[in-house]
Amino acid sequence: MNILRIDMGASGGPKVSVVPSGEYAGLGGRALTSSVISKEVPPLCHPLSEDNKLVIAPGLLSGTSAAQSGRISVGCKSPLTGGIKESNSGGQPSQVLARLGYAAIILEGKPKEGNLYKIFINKDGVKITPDSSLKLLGNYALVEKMKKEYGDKIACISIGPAGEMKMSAASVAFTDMEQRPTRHAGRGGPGAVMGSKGVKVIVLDDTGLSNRTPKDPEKLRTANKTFVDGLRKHPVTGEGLPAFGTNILANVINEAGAYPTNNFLVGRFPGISKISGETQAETEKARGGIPTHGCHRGCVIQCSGVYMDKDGHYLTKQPEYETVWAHGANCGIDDLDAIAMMDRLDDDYGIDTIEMGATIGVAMEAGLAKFGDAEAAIRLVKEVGKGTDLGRILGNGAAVTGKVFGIERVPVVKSQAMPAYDPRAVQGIGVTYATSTMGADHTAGYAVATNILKVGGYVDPLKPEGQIDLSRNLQIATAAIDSTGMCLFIAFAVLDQPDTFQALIDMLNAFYGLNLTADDVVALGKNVLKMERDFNACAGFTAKHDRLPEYFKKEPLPPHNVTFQVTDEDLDRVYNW
Amino acid sequence: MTHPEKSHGLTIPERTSPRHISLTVEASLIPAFSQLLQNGFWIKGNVGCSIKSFLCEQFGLSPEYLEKRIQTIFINGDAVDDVEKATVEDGATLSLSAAMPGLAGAVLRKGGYYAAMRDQISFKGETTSASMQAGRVVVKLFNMPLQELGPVFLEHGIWVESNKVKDVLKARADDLQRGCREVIADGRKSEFKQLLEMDWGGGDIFLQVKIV
Repeated sequence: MNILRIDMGASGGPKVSVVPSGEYAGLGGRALTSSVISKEVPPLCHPLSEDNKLVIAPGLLSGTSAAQSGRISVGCKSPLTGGIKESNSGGQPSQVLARLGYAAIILEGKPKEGNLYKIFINKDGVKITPDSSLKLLGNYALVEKMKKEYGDKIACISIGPAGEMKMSAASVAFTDMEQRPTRHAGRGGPGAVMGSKGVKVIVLDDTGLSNRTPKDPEKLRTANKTFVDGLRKHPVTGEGLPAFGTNILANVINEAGAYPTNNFLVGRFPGISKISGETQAETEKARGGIPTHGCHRGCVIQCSGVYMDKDGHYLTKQPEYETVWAHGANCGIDDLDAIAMMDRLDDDYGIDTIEMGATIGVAMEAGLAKFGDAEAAIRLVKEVGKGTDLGRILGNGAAVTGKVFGIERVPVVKSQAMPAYDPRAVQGIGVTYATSTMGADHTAGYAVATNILKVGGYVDPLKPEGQIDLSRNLQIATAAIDSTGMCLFIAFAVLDQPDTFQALIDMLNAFYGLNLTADDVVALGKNVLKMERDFNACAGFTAKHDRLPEYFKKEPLPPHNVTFQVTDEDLDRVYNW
Repeated sequence: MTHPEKSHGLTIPERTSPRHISLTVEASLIPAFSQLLQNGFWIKGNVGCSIKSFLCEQFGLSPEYLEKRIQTIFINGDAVDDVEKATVEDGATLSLSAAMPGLAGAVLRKGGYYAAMRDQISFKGETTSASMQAGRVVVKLFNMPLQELGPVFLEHGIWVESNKVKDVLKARADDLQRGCREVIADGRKSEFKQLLEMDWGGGDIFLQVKIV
């Protein structure tokens, strides 16, 4: 596998070099993106400067026949948090990029003349062309234009207007199996970095290429079958997620009193049954949509779907749990159609749905709209797409919006908005929000396979220090899974079924001819976290940044009326290993 | 599962003006009632006993289903770890869900490895009351239990706010008009259209929904 480096600031125009992976050989996904950023990007650089880099890396098994191997990582110094960032996504480009033989694309430098470029990559090489006609196109129109130009076998990596305007909440979009720009590396503003490099779209075409060849095809086939069987027989990955999608969580988190409502004011939303995964799936079925669908080929879990409007026309992909919460309960909105419309607009403008929903929640608290006013919320999202003065404030996220409008209750850590779990009700998740290298991130401590991985040895979760130890181990395991490029949703089946976890390791070994053990995977996760932590320290982050906003310690959250009680001293122990 | 009002010979005070609506519908229309089941309905039974006793002994749920399928349980919003110790009291809200994805799902799972991460909202009242008594319990069904137990509860009947039932019938009026084979209101045959035109007043009604 090679690395494709593109210097967008080279004299005479963008310069392409295809180089061997070298010191990055054997790395994929988050391990690769974070390695490049930590080694090659000055931690104190401005995120939108020529010194920052945007790294796009498929997983280790992308482009193979392995199931769930289609995640792709995007890394950079984040314009939202100011720290290191890895944001990952589903979609087709991961598989296509890997089949093209690239372990990563690294965008470097910055065009001096301000051109906007499209990059076309196929088996014959790389072609970079300035194209001003793409300026401020939404992702949907952009992909349609690329299909007309390059045919319908392509996969696209692109930014919308938010990325071009270098908004801190801008996402990088990846096309799905239907060539719609519905999958996004949204967190932390990687779209703004892509915009700063002057790259509007990367078009990938793997025509004439086949899957990557494993060292041991038979062993890979066998391990993959065990892995797939494990996913299919597990009630979460084989039943719950396919039937209701990720929004299956809404009712349960709401019942736990951990579903942030009206900008984290209370933990339960009265309109929950109108926006739950169960109701969403029924709505999709009734309108001729699809409640069970993959985001990339080779997906067995099929937790996505297709959402139609009231007239039965495609509106957007099935909005995810986090999106439904962010644009729904967090803004007091119980209208699925309005939420789906905002999801569509977010995808088209290229903006993170979590950040956008959290920002509108803050804006509502500031009085820009009333909680529950769906039309007003849609208008606010449209301000972002138009790039009005207000839109540029909102497009820079909840922290900026809170400052501009003088709001104290802003649910962010390291300037990144919290996702859909109130840390006062589920305090262990609060530990991860506070200490993650990424800012408040629910996926940073997601890989619930720690007890099988035996990360950090046995932890007694019932001891007071258990939550700290669990959060640390979860973050290590997650960094490891992110580095394989596998979908994090495999974690539940892996947790319950040791043979499924072993099958994952067997697949890696079969493909690369290695003898990895669980210990090696753990070591990889630790190494990734250490690199990220060191980068952040050099960028100016201290223990004081590993904190939740003060009001989480002071304001009790109904209905349980609990505050966040983990001490600062305990939070500081997370990275003691 | 037994009829709520006939469970184990309970003596339960009758409503002063009970309204009873029974619908017989095509199976494809059962999801129309999904929001009622998610929001919660109440049933009558003996309370002051464990969750396991309440669901398995009184309502015929198989212990295996409770153990393996219902992986996430709340009483009044508190996450339950032990169904044999957690007590169902009169007026309690009992919410039933399958295993959930992600860290939050693992954290909320009954008796799960990560239960400590939600200690503040864990159910702590794990002492079974000395005596059982007649009472009512609000039940909420989510995800797989919604699909699997929902039709059973609907067939045997649930108590639910009348205005919420009417909202559901109105929302799917066209579909139900076509797919509702029989309507019985307070023991008398009726028509779906008439049902919507009736003054339902307030309060709760006893709703049964049977499949053709």
